[in-house]
Amino acid sequence: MIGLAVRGLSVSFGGVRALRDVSFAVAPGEILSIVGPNGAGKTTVFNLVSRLFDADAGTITAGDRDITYLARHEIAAVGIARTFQNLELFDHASVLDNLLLARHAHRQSTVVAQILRLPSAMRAEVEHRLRAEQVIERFELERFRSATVANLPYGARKLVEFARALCLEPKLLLLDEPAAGLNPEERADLAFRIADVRDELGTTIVLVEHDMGLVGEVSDRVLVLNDGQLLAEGTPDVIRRDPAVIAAYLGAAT
Amino acid sequence: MDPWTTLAQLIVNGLAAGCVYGLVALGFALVYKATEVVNFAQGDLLMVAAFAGWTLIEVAGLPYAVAFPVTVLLLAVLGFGLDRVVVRPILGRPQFATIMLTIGIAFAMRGVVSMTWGPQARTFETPFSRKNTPFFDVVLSDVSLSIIAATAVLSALLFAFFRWSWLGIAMQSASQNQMAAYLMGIPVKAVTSLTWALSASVAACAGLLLAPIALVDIALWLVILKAFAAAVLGGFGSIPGAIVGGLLIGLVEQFVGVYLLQEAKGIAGYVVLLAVLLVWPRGLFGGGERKRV
Amino acid sequence: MRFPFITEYRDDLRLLRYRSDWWSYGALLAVLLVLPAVLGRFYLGEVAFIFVLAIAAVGLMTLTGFTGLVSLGHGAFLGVGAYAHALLMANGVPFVVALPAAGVATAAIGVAVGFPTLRLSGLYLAIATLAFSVIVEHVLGHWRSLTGGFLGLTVQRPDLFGWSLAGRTEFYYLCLAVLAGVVLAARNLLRSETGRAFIALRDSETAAAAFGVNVAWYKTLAFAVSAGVTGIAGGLYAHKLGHITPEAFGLFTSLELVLMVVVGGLGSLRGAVLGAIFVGALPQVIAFFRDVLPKGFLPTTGLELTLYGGILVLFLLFEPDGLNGRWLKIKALFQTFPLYRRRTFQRTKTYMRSERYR
Repeated sequence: MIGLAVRGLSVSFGGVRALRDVSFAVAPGEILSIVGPNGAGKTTVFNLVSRLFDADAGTITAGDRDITYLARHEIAAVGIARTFQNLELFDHASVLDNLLLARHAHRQSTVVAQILRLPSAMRAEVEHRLRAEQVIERFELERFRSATVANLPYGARKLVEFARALCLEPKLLLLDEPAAGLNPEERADLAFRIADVRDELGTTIVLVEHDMGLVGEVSDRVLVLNDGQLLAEGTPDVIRRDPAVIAAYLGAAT
Repeated sequence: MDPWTTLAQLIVNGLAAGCVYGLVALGFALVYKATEVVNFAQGDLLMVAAFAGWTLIEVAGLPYAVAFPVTVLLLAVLGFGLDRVVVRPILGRPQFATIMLTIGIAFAMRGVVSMTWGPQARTFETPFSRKNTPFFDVVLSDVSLSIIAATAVLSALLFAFFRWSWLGIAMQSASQNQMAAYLMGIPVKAVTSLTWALSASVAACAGLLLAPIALVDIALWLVILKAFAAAVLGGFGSIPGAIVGGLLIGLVEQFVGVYLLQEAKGIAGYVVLLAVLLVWPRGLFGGGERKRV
Repeated sequence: MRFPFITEYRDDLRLLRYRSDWWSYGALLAVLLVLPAVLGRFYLGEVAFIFVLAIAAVGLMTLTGFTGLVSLGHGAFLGVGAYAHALLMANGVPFVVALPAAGVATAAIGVAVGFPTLRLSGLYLAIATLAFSVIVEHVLGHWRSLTGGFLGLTVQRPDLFGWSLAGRTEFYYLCLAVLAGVVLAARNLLRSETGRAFIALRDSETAAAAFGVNVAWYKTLAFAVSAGVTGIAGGLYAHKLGHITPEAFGLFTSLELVLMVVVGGLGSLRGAVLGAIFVGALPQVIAFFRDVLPKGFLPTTGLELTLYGGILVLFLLFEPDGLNGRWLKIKALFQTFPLYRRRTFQRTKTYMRSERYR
């Protein structure tokens, strides 16, 4: 399991400074939540870590590897998986295929071996299926296994996205608003699953979330972003009582 | 001929061809802005207009001045109907589906025209046919001049329409933000259909203007390929860009044919198209934004 | 609905998962093998032609149906394959070498088209490939020293180690064998790691990249595979025509190929084959009715185009999954009779989602 260290991260889009000199660190096996009002730059942090675009300044280190300049498709091989706030599933493929694709970073066979179904390709395929089935079992997705993702209810799709990220066997997992749009029952399930993944697999988890209840329940530490800057950092209880955080959320001027 | 006369004629010919490309490109820019549908049948609308004009003039015996507005009106109705019956139900599906839908419409229109009028090419008389206007030392054909003048007038009318008329403003607002326009009380569906009607009438004008130099023929639809080049060069979805892009493509073709390589004239426009797409996909007047995740 | 009883992961990887699949595909193969004995010479040639179209459709399906990259220029790849094959054979290269070589050459052209257009998606890619199609037709027509210009090129007769394949029956078996090989190879590729990467690119490029799919590499690979397969079809097409001219590989052919994959049903190899049958058989059906019906009842020109266009529009509006979708529904109807419900296949409602910012 790997930690994540972000130092002096800044980025701006067309004159708007989305992040200003943000630094934080996540210890291996820790659950860190990033909270903050809309537009605070939470998802931007994720997009920078998963290299969807370049930072203007700062460095990102995962484990002992500098990933600031990696290509976006090289992030998976480092062991970082993520989910997306607006769901980026492979809609017209089955749940199983979605999970199997997450194994792409672990691919072992060549195109020719795949076309000819050589033993090497078959072994790889069986191995992927084994891993995918383990995740399906963990998340109780058996009844959806061969369903097309586009036809699933929203809550199930959110779960599939979480499961897909897990299929990568990540060392660091980034969850972007996993509880958004879930009903209370699904939300309770989710809290359990997040804690379960960390406790059993030891995965480091970074969470962007609005639901303060969920954040308080699962996180070891909370980071508050406001207007692209780091506002506060601490355990959930400390953060909940921090006057600057309360002001930022309620919109009062500080 | 001395080089200056050649040059002047090339410019006029290029501008005339370019105006037609620009008008067709303008036609799909209108629809693209309103609905994100790219009408691959725009060239076929033009072709249908040319055949309709031929029928009205040569069969029904109407004078050109009557046949022109009647054809434009007929095409407006066709455009309105296409949106209502065929295109509307598919909105919201992936872009590829809408591309294929308009290709299907194009096939069907081409087939129907071919069944109705047969494969032979024809021509009709216009007030400009076979006349020339001397301009200093240069003799310019009236047909070319009529195309340029009509395009200028049409552009001015469209500009005024979008600037000052209620419907024009409603069309613009509906294309910028459908939901907001709807909430402001603009009948978005009707406005969209009218945008299609407008787009088809622009194609009709282009068809009637082009027919005297290009013959009334099924192959007229191919002009859409040049119009794509014009639209991409000008920036897809930009109305001034469509006209400017059209004029540039028209000129490039003429000049490449004479000064560079005779064989390349036919594909100069497409080479420009590919070059623009690869180097500078936004074109001259296009905007660009990135997808959010 | 049936569920296979699976006790091992390998069971899931079998090509034919049900016992009934063995029967139905076996029966299909048997029928195709004895067809030359029953069918007249003319219709046998037409069926072989459909096989060639189906190979090309499988090529395009890989790109458009599975990777989500639109190509309105596959007629050009067909042409490149045909000319490459004809030129190789004219220079004494034996058929068994020339056909794969034509595929490789076309794949190279595919890379040359695919790599620079990586940044383009949807509409822009469609227009770029359309322009490519027109340019290739033009070049084939004007590069007289190589291609013979609009007069065309006569294609040598195919043979296999001295055994002529030019006869109708031999050519039929040749096309059938190549089609079977191509379908099998495509099926294997598409249900393995590479195929899943293609599908991922189609549905969400962002997520695909986040899970390690090298977008540039896989898009280029998809172009190469697709062009290569289409090039092989082009080589066979050249033999079918006997004499090739640029017009055979123009815009209309490109659009016909797209018609096949859309009417067949995007994202399914069965769809590609069904689409090829539709496009290849329609002219024969029309010809049949023209003979049967009174003279002048059917118009001499344009009917084919009208039907192509009309059927394409109807499929897009009412059955976006194409012939393959229809096939699956009919199959389900029989399997679950009398419990079939229309709702089983109801699609989730789609809303307008802007694609301008992709």
